[in-house]
Amino acid sequence: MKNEVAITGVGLISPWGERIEDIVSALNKTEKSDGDKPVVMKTIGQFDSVQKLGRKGLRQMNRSAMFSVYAALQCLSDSNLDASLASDELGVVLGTQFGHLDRMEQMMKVIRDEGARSLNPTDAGYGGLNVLASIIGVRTNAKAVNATINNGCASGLDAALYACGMITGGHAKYVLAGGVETTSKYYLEWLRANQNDRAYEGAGFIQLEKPDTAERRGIKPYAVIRAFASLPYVGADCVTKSMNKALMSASISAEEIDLFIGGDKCSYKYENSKFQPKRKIFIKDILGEGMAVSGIYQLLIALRFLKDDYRNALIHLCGQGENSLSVILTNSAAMTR
Amino acid sequence: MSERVVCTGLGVATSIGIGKENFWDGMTRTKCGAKPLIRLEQNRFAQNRSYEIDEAFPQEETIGRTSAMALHTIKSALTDAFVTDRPEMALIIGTGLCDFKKIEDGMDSGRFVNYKDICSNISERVENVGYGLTISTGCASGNYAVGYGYDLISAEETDIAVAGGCDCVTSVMYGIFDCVNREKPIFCQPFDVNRKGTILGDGAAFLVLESLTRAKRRNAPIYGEIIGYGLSCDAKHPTSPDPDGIARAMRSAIQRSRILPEDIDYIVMHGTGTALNDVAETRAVKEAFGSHSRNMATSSIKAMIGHTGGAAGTVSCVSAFLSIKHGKIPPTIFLESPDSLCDLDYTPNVWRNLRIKRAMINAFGFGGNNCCVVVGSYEGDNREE
Repeated sequence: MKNEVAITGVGLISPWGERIEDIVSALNKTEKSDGDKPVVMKTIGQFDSVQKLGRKGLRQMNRSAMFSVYAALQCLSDSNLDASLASDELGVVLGTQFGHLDRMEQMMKVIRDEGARSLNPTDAGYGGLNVLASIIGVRTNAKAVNATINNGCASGLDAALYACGMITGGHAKYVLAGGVETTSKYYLEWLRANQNDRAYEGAGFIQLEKPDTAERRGIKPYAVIRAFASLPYVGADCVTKSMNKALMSASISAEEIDLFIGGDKCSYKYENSKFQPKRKIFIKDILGEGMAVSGIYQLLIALRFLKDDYRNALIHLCGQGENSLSVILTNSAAMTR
Repeated sequence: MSERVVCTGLGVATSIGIGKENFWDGMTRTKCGAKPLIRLEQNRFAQNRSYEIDEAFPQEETIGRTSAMALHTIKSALTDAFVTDRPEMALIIGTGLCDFKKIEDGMDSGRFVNYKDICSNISERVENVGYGLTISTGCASGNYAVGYGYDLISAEETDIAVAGGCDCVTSVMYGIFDCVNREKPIFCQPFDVNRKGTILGDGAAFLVLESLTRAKRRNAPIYGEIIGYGLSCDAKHPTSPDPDGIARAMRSAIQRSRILPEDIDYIVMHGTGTALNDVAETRAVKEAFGSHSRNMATSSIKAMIGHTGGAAGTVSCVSAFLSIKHGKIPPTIFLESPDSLCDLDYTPNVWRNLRIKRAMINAFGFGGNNCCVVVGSYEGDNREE
């Protein structure tokens, strides 16, 4: 990535609350709660969909759609962008692995039991993977890029990477990039097959734009994405390669990184004696697996710490058979809200 | 100055032919791939025709039919491009339906299927994938993938990418069209007043894209150039196309390619044969191209190969590059009585000789996703702009 991209808005919903601070305190609490029984799936409890999203279009939304629309709207509002004035320049990129499979499965049951003519045509969108991003596009009136990324655990972070490309490539001025995953049979089975005993559901979004665009709008970014690097994950060595590539691309050295937010410790291996961040957090080891939303939560957690005295954060996420992704985020006093 | 991007390899699989020679031969003979359903339970649907591919693909049972089709097509594109130096390459896969067929088959047999994204399946079986992405924008997915491959090379993030789309017929998507098509279509009949809706087909198509520098260095065969692309989202309706949104994508493609509307000689239309798409696309072409829309040739190949979903855009790209190479364009077959609202030159029924300098490839998907790619003949180092 040759151009920097600013993060100017955040929005999320999680089992722990709707603020970044809620996830950070969950990290701290869980870190200290020795002996607690592992939670199989941490779910979002009460969600008053009518109050949060209004009645219109609710019937067409499954749980993933509701959470992702809600997080995207929160993000848009946080960025102070008036979407009605910028709709042609606003895009949506969403990462999800299993986001719509529950509704698709229901449709398949109708076809099997009653025949295709009994399908409800208003569910048509759920025949394809991109339905959730489309629903967000309609709700936010985003008329530039609209895409769904389906890349396993890395889907959310890959969505952010793709969104950065859409901005630097001039296809959109602003992009809402995020991830969503909700409890479903497919998610649970995937966890079992991959021997994960803890997981959570949720949705998270960041708004991206060029730093000078944000400046012209009078918005101070939370942080700036300096570089991304993505390689296929085919073993622990890929972590070193991907992190080095990101550092080189951002033109900063390993010793300048003072915050590291990783996925899980066991797939992490970085051999560089100069890499001594003040704080290292492995969120999957603490919160469990979050699939497409985990990478976005990693970004959000980094933003929270960058508000303090951290300067450069390195975020890394990988999954077997997927990408090994590294992101460099930089903060400065001038950029701190 | 950004890198120029050329296409050096083609891989394609459709109901009228697997491999670029068979595909082109099928089109040359204006073959129609529509036939009775092969892999879906007939008694669940009122209509019974599809453009499925007869053959099974290697590893289909393990990784799913869509992944297997993609794998086969990617390998044949790399062979076609004579890529032998094992470069680290980007792999961009567009799909509307992923491997849902595998999930549906699992539901039918009561066997749970561990769902995996297509890019992971391919990366484990193709050497030297440097960066992989599975992107879904409905039936615009293939064009989105080609566009992103173009972006990565022109921004010098990589110098070679394999990009394209793939989808196979699923019960749910077939069921949706079964539900909305009031009459049972026998074949796709784009732009005809008697069209009865679209029919799905299996399809996969991938392009090997390279920087011109790399292609020239290894003396690679060059089919043509990717000049640019444009995208838009209607943000209006989940399934109904909006002419304004489509026109916006076309205008953006022209502008980003730094050409004028008059520079486009030919459009491979999305042309699905649905009542709504064909009228909306025609209106959008007129809006984006003005008076030039009357002078320009267009055609839809879907009457021959059906609607191949996420593969549709890239199959059309393959068709466009072969048209550039052979100097002739495929017709819109079964176009007997054009709809009065569909009044462009759709090249009805008969092949036409045409020297193409620039062509546009249209692909639009559910969710209002529109993506138009501009390709051109390779004219050496001094491209006119």
